Amino acid sequence: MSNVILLGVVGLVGGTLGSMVGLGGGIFIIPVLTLFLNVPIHAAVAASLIAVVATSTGGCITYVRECLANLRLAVTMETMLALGAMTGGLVGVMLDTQTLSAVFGSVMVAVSVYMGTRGRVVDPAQVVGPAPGPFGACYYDRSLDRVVEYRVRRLPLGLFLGLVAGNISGMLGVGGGFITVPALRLGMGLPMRVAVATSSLMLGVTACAGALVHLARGTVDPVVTVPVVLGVTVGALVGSRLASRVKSSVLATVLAVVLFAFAVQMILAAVGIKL
Amino acid sequence: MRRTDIRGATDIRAGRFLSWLLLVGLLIAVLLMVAGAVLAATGANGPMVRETSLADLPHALASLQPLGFIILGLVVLLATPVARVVALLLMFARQRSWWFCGICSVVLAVLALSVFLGLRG
Repeated sequence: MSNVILLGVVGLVGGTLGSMVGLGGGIFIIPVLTLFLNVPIHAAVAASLIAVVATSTGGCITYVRECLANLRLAVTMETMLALGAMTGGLVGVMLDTQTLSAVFGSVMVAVSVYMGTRGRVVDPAQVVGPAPGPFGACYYDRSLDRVVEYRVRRLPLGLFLGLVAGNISGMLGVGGGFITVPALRLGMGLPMRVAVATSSLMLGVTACAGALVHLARGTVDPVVTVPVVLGVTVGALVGSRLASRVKSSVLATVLAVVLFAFAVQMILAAVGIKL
Repeated sequence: MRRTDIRGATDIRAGRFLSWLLLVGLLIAVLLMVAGAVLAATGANGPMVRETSLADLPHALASLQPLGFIILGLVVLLATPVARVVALLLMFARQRSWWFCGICSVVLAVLALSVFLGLRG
């Protein structure tokens, strides 16, 4: 029973932190489950993928209603994301625990570096004016109190990065938001709020493709998955309310340090060194 | 002034509908999982198993096992983004945006293939 409560708390913290910094939460949930609660990594990956679907669904209730997510771009990129997630899911269930832990640890190092430095990345110039093309869109920005129009650039690059993000998502059980958010923002020139909302919307389908492989193959452990998913659902709602009260750059830096420590620990565990 | 995107009111209505769809899907999934967890905690209808798959669903539901509610909750949760893509497909069809209808169909085909390959493996 105490383990079930702990699993729920892990989901709650993962969902809260994930929704506050624009990630699915899997990047936090998997190392905690495997390193501290001795959950086998394949069960942790399956639980995390389903949790990402819950985070995405909960977050997008607001994003879609507030008209922030670009629906046409999201569904176009989902073709590559879902394809990548499906192949990643199939590869992931075939990898042994050590290899999967080592790959996950390496990806976590990249994520922690991204999170630690993203505050210093210079945003591309805001595109204001007519929004041509099939993906051109606009949204109402509360802070600016006006409608912001934007256009989508470099779609092929976005589709390629979507395939990569989907593959990592399906294989490792993370959302892939650490790739899709910068891809949409820096690569395709979307405003930050639109990038986070569109990425969040896409991650639901991405994680769904990977999770369906796990559910169909019977690698989902309900005793682990249900408390994590319920915790994540509450966490996503709490995080979306807290996000405006906490300085996101501070949160991202703290999370980057924690993730880096987890990453080192996972890589060492993969080669047989326990700290 | 507040708009979904450059195409205006149609997409605002679509956004509201999609938001409602996601909310309902998430609520049903959570309620089913909570019901399964409560049944499992009270020890009703047998012990909880640690590995489960889609193939277990009909039997578990027929015998009202906690596992049946939990798998159904997971299926509803995973079906929610799929339902969102189906809703977008219908929306684009209504707008006669056949290109995006085709894209939605590809996404649905890949998701169906995921289940097929998972069950086959």
